[in-house]
Amino acid sequence: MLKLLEHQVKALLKEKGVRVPEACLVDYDKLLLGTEVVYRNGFILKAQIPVSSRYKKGLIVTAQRKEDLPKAGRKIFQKAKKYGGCSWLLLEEKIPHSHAKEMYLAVLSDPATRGPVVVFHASGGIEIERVLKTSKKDGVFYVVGILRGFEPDKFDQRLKHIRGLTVGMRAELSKCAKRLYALYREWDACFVEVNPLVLCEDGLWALDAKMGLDEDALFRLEEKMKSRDFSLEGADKRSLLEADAARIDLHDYRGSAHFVQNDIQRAAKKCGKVFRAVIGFNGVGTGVSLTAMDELVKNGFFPRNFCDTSGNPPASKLYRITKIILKQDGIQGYFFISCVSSQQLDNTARGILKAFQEKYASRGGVPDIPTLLHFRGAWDEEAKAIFREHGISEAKNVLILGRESSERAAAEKFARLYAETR
Amino acid sequence: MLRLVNTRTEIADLQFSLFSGGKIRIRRSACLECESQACVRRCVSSALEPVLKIENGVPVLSRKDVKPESGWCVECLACELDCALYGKKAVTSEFPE
Repeated sequence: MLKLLEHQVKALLKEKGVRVPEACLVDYDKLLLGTEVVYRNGFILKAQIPVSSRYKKGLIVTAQRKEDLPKAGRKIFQKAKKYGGCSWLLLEEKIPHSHAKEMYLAVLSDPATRGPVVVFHASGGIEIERVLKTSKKDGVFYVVGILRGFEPDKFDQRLKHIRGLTVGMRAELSKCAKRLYALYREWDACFVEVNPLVLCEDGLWALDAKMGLDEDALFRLEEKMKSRDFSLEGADKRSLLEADAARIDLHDYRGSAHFVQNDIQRAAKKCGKVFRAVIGFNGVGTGVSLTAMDELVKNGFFPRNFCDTSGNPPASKLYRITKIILKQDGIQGYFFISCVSSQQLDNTARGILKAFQEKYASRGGVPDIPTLLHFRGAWDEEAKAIFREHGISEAKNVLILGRESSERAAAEKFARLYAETR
Repeated sequence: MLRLVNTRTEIADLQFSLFSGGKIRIRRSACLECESQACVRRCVSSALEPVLKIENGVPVLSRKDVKPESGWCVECLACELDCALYGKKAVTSEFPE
């Protein structure tokens, strides 16, 4: 998910007619030189960095006087280094309001209903996650029918049970929710969130906002992003190999080659484990991949990557993604497993084989690392035969399995193979 | 796009583009002596018919009205791998990096 920065989200909200405070972006130099802006109600400085709970982390600071801004800003830039740093602060006008009148309004993608939901709560502000769980009576969870779209009347009906909301306030909230929903759809967002949303004398104000975009939709958002000068730089946290892998599926819908690298240091810290080897991994099916990876970890192996090549991808995709898997530094083994799959596993096999033949050309395509290939499903016998015909399966460090083996058995056999042949 | 290259007195190569942006190239000067014709035997492409057929002893596209890059060639790599094993190593493929 690509998270837009607060100032970007607020620019979009403003375009939609949602009130946002007056603001400007300042960098470190501009802050030190001093700003010309005058905000009568005081200033808020906010680090433009896609992390949550910025206020708690000291990345949002208020200042009553312009003279206090440089010192406050320096502190934020310093603290932001812990979270990857930031280049800009949003210098915003403080909007006087009562914290008791802070509300929460968001459009989220709900996995349970598999569609958008509009969530409202009368108590917004910090710790909203806890509030949403514990105080359901002051909240609304309105499921939007994706074909019908957002229906303000229905949302208004749902708001009626919330204490303290007048007819006028409900109308304003419905309008605001409609605008958020429009943004959500137009930008292929995973979520659009305003927290807090405050009601002042002159109407609703969005004091803070977040928005996450579906990265799979970025190809059709590029022009929109460019036209608003929304830079993708720094937002793409993918590694170089992940970026390379993403290009495989970019314009080719035939099956998948989903590849993500795992962070070994973080995993080792979380598991409290020392791994005996780092391996390259590929699975047909996410479920079998996760199961197999769990079994591999139990046996002391760290999958350097997750990869799912399901949906019947052509052999060419398998070839390209296997090359990427094998390019990873320090790979000491290779593990491929399929679920009992309906895809043409002979095509899967050919793609893997071509990558092996290229990488291990001097060895006739036989890998020089312990390698397990586990084919189960349609054309699985043909897949195994391909490796036999090309002289791969006879190698001592290669083990080819079929339907007789489970994920657990495959991981255990790989462990024995590794011990015997490394 | 079908393109003939290496137009000398030898049999010209066959080259065609693929849906993924890759290419298949067949060095047909080697094919006249091929007994296995593995590229054609193994072509498992799509519901229409195999992409390749043998004409005058060399592989050609079996249809002129359908482009391989439309997805007709399903990029199974069988022609390349089997030609390498049973034929004359005349088929090569390349794909975008």
